[in-house]
Amino acid sequence: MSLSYASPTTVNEAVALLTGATGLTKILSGGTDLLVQLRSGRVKPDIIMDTKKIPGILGIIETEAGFVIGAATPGAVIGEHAGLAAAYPGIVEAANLIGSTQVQGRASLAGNLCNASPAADSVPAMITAGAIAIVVGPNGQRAVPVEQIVIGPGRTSLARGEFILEFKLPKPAARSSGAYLRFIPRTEMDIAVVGAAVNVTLDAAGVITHARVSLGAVAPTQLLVVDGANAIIGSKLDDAALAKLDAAARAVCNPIDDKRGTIDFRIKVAGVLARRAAAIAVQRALGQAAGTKH
Amino acid sequence: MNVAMDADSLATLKFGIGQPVPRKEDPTLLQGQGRYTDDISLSGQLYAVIVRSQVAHGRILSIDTETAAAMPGVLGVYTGADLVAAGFGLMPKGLAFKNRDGSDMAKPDQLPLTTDFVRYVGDPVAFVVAETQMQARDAAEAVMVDIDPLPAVTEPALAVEPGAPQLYPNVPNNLILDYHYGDAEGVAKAMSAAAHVTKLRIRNNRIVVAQMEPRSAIGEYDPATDRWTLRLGCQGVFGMRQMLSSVLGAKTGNIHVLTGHVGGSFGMKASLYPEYLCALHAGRALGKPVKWTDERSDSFLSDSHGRDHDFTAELALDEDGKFLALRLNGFGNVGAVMSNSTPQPSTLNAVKNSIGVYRTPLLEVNTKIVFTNTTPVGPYRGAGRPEANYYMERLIDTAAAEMGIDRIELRRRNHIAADAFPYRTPSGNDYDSGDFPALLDHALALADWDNFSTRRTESRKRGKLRGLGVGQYLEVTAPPGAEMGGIRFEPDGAVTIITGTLDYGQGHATPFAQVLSNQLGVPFDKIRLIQGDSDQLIAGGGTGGSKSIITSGGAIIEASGLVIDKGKKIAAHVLEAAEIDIEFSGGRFNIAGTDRGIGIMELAAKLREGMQLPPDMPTTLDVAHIYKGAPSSFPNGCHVAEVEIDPDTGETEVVRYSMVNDFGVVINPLLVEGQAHGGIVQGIGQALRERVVYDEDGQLMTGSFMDYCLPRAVDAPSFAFDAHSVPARTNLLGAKGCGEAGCAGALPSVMNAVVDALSEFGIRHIDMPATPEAVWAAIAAART
Amino acid sequence: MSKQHVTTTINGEPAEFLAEPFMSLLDALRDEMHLTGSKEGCGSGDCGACSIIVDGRLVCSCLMLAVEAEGHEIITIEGVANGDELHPVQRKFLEHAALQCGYCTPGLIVATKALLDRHPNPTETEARYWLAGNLCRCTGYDKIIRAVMDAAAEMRGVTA
Repeated sequence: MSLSYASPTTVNEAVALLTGATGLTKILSGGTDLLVQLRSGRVKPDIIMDTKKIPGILGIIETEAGFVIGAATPGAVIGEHAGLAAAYPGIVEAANLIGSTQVQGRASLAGNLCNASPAADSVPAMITAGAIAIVVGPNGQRAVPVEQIVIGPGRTSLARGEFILEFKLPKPAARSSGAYLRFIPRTEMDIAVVGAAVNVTLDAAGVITHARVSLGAVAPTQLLVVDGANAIIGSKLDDAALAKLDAAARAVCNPIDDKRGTIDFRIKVAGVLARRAAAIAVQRALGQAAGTKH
Repeated sequence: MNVAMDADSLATLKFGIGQPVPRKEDPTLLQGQGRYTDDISLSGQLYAVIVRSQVAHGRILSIDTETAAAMPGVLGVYTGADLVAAGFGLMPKGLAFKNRDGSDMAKPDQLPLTTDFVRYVGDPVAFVVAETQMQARDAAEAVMVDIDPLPAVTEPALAVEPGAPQLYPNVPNNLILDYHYGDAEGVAKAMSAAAHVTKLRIRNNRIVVAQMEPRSAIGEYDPATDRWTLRLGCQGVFGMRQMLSSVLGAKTGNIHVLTGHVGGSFGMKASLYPEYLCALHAGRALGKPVKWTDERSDSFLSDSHGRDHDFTAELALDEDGKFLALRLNGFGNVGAVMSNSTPQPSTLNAVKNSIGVYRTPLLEVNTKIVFTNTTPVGPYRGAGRPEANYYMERLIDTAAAEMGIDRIELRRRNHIAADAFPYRTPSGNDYDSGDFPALLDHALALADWDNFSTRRTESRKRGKLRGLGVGQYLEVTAPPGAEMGGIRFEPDGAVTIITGTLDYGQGHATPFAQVLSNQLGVPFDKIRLIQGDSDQLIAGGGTGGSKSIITSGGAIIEASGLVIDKGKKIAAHVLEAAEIDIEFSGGRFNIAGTDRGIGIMELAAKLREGMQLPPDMPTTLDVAHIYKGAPSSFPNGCHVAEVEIDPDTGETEVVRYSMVNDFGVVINPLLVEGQAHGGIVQGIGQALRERVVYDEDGQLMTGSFMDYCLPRAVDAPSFAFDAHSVPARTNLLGAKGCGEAGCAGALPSVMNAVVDALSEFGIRHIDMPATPEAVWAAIAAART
Repeated sequence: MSKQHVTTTINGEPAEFLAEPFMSLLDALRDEMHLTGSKEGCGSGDCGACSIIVDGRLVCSCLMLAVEAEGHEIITIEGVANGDELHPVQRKFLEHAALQCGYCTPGLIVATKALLDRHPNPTETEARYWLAGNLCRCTGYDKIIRAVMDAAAEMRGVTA
């Protein structure tokens, strides 16, 4: 029961603390998961390391190359960033679904990712956006695609002493957009039964040239659904393409059966949401195309 | 008439009966200055944490408290054996019902803390008291409870089967009560002769009450005066004191129960819970106040749940659709321990409330009340009333569909007519008033029923199914009970009402003051309410069954009459007139036919200052009166819900909601409308989202707000609200209780709307809650 | 388990308290600062009864460590009214009777203030979504939403 709180002010200090610590160290970003775990006694750490005083870990920077989102940036800040909302609406709408207004005031993308829940809302949207996590640790810095961070429920690929400093998003190509939809037993504040994210790029004729599809809550980790993307690439998202996407989405599902949703229901809804998210993403990309004409 | 009114008279009008007066307590509550139990910190206070069973059923082999007792800050670790040794008795045995064969219902002995067997997950077995909350929490984890697990049973239909796990040795088949009411032979005859019988199996899903304030209590004992003091949130301090008296083996005069603000209850906090006795025991053992506050995760396990009935309901009709007989056969699951309302909701309240607004000559109710290894089930908003009404209204819509009769027309053919009162129902109730046909018409007009098809077409264009449902209800509010009407003129010029109902959000202080102001012309601002101090009460029925305005309001009216009687005597002396010549009106005692008089507040002031009075004269205007109570009232109404369903995901949204209610004479429409809103959203929660799920081992699967879907602001509709009031003839105010009516209207109107939306698939019934998956699965099954 | 000294600003006044490292900000407010207006309804961020504003952001004080408050500005329910004068949001809740038991009310008042500080002209749907993190079991929300919309109109200077 010897809990202590540390708030390092540099990456090196944080890495040294994580590497040198004995016992269990938990990283505190927004704390919206950690404090619940502490209160229930599910987690009994020796040290809590608050990352929020490390430079760069809070806030969003828009660059020529794209966006850099500090790992501990709260969802509310992400939701208010006009540039990010225009470029990656799927990420913004997913971040806005992580809990209530109060939770969005604190909850971060890194926390949502590293808690490694299969139902984490922001993860499918980040995967389809091609987000790269910048991981820092005793051996310096490495860039890891987001889909490679979570390896199972509650488990990540981060090594001892490592944590995520920021996320990088490329500047989107012209006529690109995305969407995230989730299904829960009610409309706000709960855990997704299914989450579906789609990003698309269109050519001048409105044909999909590039796509990424990701599903959450239907398998032990979020899934990058390559067959789903292939099902719609080359199409204008006609009914046949949508049907193929629906089938591809259902085919990859390996969900659990619980009181929130049976296997059959989750699989069926995964197909429905993938279709609907794709339709929204294409609509948004077309809207952008219309916007760039004048 | 241009007579100038004095300020007091104007104020009386502004705060008169029927005025939407804002609540007296709100400036306090709105600034965070409310005093709920956990907000109180007494000097030297210690903290208790309860150790609960983590298995649903088992024999306690041992409880090792040594490690916990040695931990930092820990002052005591206690078990059920300690309470027995300290002289604590059995828990109250609640209500008495007879089996169908005339024998008494089973009533097993129950200790405050079990010593032999645990019977549900959350069953309290020990408690730890420490200097801080954290220390107590840590030590509670170190209490080692060794339990030999036994098979558990959570479903009543299984619990009565031979070979099922037995919860109590002297309750065979876990059957507490084999309840029967009605003319079985007559009903059977009517059923077999009927042109049509509609039969539905209806689950009334188990609900977590989920009031926002967790239960909390502070127990103290003063050896010098041999007095116990318990601070807690409850529904009536007078009754709570009585229940404590039986367990503590103390006279009621040696027990002081105090209740401040209460953060919701809906029936749940009416019971005496073991944790309160733990706080009192530790308070005496350690000589300091001991506070216990539940954590929400424990609230889900330890607060009594609501509903959980499973009925087969049958309605017999003749070829014209006239109702001939109603029969309910089923189970009431009461969990592992009796609550203070066991077994009323699924027995007597099913009898009284299933008939509703319809002429149905014959009624039979058969209920098996059964123990299971689940959290105790207690009263929850309506306590059987909304459930019973739901059965009838679902039967009617189903019968209409089966017989090809319009569902509104079928209701009209069976309404009790407006000129039929007094009307005796087969449940033995005498309805005094109402206008059910007109009220239905009023509700349909408010809901724009006739233009529904346009809205349905519009929904269809967006790929949504739209459904419309009606729920007409009548509730039988609680039967008569004694209630105190105390009126005290205070030294500071205030007038105190003392009564034993107790509000946990209803806002009693305001309508009670409106009634008193109306009766005595006392300025509204000067009126205070004492409801939560047992030392001040000579009677008190507490709050429950939608009766507070009728009982406390009646008590205030009668007490006001006594104040006037006393005042006339004193005023006659002051005004040097004969008592018979004194009239009271508008807050003044006047000599008839003259303009000479004295205001009641002025008279009270004179008495305070000390006035020479003849020896046979009352010396104060104060009154402490016991009112016998008024008969049940029959609030009724018609609610119309409109839902939209996404057929691909099964998601259901309530998009319109209209209601017309007959609450008789309404004292404060602002508050009454709020009661209706709150009840309806609780009903929408039960209908569409809320349910308690146990796994086969009796573990609660829905034990947090992440897993249990309480309605949020985005889930609730806006309301169209109208009144169609017919004053009650059986109580002094003409009022009909409004507190539980919202649930009664919401369950059937919402579910009838859901079934209406799904009717194109041939779906005739779907059980609550109509979760997305349940709706989706029903559509999927209907399509194959 | 040594206590840490925390210096912060609460309702415009400098404030200091000692906090154990695991203590939630809610516990520190209630037990150390005796500001009992913020309520614990769940302790897990699901009910919003403990809502406070930190540096202009609405958060659950049960989901924040007390030590994290160091150097930040906090507004609690006790700081919403101006002395005895109710904030317009509080006054509209009173006029509409948008509270019953009152336990969730401090959180709702703080959340509504945060909403209107940031979005003075919300739609009803926006208001419902913003307040979806505040559970209320008594009112059915309708009167709350009326009060919020009415307060917003008044604060914008529009007569409703």
